[in-house]
Amino acid sequence: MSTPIETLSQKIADRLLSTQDPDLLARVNEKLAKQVRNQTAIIYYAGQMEEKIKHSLEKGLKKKFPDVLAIEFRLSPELIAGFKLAYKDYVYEDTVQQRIGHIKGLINLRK
Amino acid sequence: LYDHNAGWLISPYLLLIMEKLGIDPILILFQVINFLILLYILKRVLYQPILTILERRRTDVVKIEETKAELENAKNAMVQEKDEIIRQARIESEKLISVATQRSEQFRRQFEAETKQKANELLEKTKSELEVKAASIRGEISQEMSQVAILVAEKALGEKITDEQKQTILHDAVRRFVEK
Repeated sequence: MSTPIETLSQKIADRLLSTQDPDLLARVNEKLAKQVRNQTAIIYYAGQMEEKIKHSLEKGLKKKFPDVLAIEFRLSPELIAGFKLAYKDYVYEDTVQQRIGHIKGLINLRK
Repeated sequence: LYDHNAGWLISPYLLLIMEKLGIDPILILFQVINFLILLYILKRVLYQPILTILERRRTDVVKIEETKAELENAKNAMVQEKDEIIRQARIESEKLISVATQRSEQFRRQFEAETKQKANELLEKTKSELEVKAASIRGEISQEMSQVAILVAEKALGEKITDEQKQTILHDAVRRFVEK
């Protein structure tokens, strides 16, 4: 049983396909893809990420940003350990590399 | 040859002796008269002009002596004046030398003081610049060492942290994010 929004989406898709206009379809596709890209959160991490942690992270992210459409996980060994989240102009980082960078900043500030 | 008082001018005995000796009194008398005439003539013609000339010369000599004395006095005065001028000139030159010496000494001292001050300023400036440069180099070395230390730490951490530790760190990070 589908929700009303899913039914509406299906109808819109069928209507678009029925036009058989490749340009229109391409434009709509591009717009939708761009929208999805803009609302995709990217999570960089080091080491292995268990599914349990992934779910926990997704849950926390959805709670903070309800408009997130997709979450992309990218392995990034240079972070050493921890994760970094980038969504639109929001960046959250809790990694070993960031802490080393913080220490580096303190050393430079001391000079 | 009659004498009013004696009765005789010349004694007859004397006349007799004179005759015996061949002396003629008359002749002697004339000779005396001649001599007196000659003496008068000589005095008028010869002695007086000579005496006049001698007097004139004596006057001239006196004048010359006076002139000489005056010249001597003038010379002495000039010598004194010259000595005074020389003395004054010497005093003046000594004063000038003294002033010049004082000024040169003052200038030398001032020049020495200025040179010393400039040298000190240059030294201080150089010292300050060297200190700044040394501090800068120390800072650069410190920064380089810090960078090296951080790189070494990053490398060491990257290699030494186990997967299990990474899992723990990731788990804690996610927990902090969710709880935030």
